[in-house]
Amino acid sequence: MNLLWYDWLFVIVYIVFVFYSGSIVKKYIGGISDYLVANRGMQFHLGLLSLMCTEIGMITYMYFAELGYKTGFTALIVGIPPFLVFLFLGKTGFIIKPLLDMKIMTLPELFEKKFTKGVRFYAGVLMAIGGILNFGVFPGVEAKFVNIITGISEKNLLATMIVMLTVVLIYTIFGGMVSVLVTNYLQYALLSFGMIFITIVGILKIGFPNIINAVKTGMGERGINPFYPSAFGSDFGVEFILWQLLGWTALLTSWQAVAMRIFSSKDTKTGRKIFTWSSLMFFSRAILPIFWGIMAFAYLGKVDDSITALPLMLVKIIPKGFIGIIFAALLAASMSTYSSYLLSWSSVISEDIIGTIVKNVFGKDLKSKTRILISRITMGVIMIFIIWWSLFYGIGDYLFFYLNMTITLFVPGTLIVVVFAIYFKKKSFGIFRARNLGAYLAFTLGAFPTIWYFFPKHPVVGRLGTLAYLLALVGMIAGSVVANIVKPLKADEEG
Amino acid sequence: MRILIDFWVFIVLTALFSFTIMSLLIVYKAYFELKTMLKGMEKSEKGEE
Repeated sequence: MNLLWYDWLFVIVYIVFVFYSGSIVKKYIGGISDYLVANRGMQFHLGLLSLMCTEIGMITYMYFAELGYKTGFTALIVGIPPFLVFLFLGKTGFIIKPLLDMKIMTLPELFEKKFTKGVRFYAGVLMAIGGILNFGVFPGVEAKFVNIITGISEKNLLATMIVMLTVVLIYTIFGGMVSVLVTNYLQYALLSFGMIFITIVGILKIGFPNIINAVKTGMGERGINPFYPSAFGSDFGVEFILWQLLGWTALLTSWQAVAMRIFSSKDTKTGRKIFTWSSLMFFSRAILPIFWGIMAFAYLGKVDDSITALPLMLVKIIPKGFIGIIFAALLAASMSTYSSYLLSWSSVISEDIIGTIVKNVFGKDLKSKTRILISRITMGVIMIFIIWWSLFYGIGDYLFFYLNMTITLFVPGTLIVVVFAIYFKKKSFGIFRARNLGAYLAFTLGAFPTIWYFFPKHPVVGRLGTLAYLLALVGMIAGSVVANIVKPLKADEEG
Repeated sequence: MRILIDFWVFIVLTALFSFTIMSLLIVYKAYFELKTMLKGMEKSEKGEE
């Protein structure tokens, strides 16, 4: 066992504390808008904190550290696109301002408003599939991490997954967004301490000169220059950067876990401010764990499974007596990510898929309480699925690429459709005016590169990812032009 | 190569420094915002049915 009795004690006290604070805020939950978006009462710092908690989990550390471990300083380029995109969106209000002004809870709601229920349903289905496939590898990877840190045998992977997810499920189900906000506060305090602590201890123990030398001798120019051997065709080349810039623009508006945080903001100004300042936070969110991976390479040298390099290094460099705190910090990061993702994807399924079906069959909306109940049942089902997926799906690629490609199933279509829904719905656009057929085609064509990714022979992911956005754009324009020619709208008609 | 290495070291240190400062600030200020939000929700009418 790597954890001593007082380490375990710290972890247990922390979990109990989180549960307790989650349960005392239960009384604040009124209707579905309290449950899903905390009644839109979130102010700037809390919003930023909550966004960071959602987007930093053990999985984040694992996939970034794996990149750093395998590709050295080159991987640090990954931190730059989110920085630029967040700053641009926050400052200009492009896409996000109109979305915040509309006061919607999920993006598919916008599709219903601007297109039809059918588009909302279709988007919801793709989002749910992509999101859950993405989420599906979390438990396996994280349980591996937990087992190495704690010293629990690898044989008990399933048991670790079940315990972790059960804890998260219980507190998410009974709290919703308000509870997530309160527990996020505690979790952020702990996880930020953990991140700073690991980086400083690592630098002090290993030293910058040794890290640089290890990368230089072990990887050569490949570990330092992202455009090596050529700007096009390398894993982190121009296509990768373009894909990431588009991906982040899309993610910030179409990634339900992020969008929900923004939709929970008190007002439009707060939402934009959260975006602007997140640029720096998302930059650090990538850079620090990638650097841990580079440190692990310098400290450990070759390990059998690159995904395990980070926990193996942590067990060795964290001083005795601190491992319990660091473990609780990492667990904290994960719990908030899990709870937010469970809440996000279950809300897409319950609101956009089941809600749409019920409305079509019975002709009326579900009651608020029934919607919460469906959302909770959906969470349970998602949890069972992701445990199964974690056990049976083997990731052959970098974890980072798998996670990015699974969300590319719906993200390109979403970005293009959102942009057209907001900016190209006016009559003055003539045959280019956004239409339902365009939306369906954008989603469908944009999803193809992800399907291609799951085949053994495929181009570099940067190229696949960029292609997805191009196809979605072509689909949107072609579909709209055809619809406008074949069935033009009357002067006052929407569609 | 040398200039690239210096650039990456600069990036790492910038990330560490900005994350530390912002985290301290956020944790301090969010505490008061959370208190205000919960108080506000307690007073408001519950339910939307």
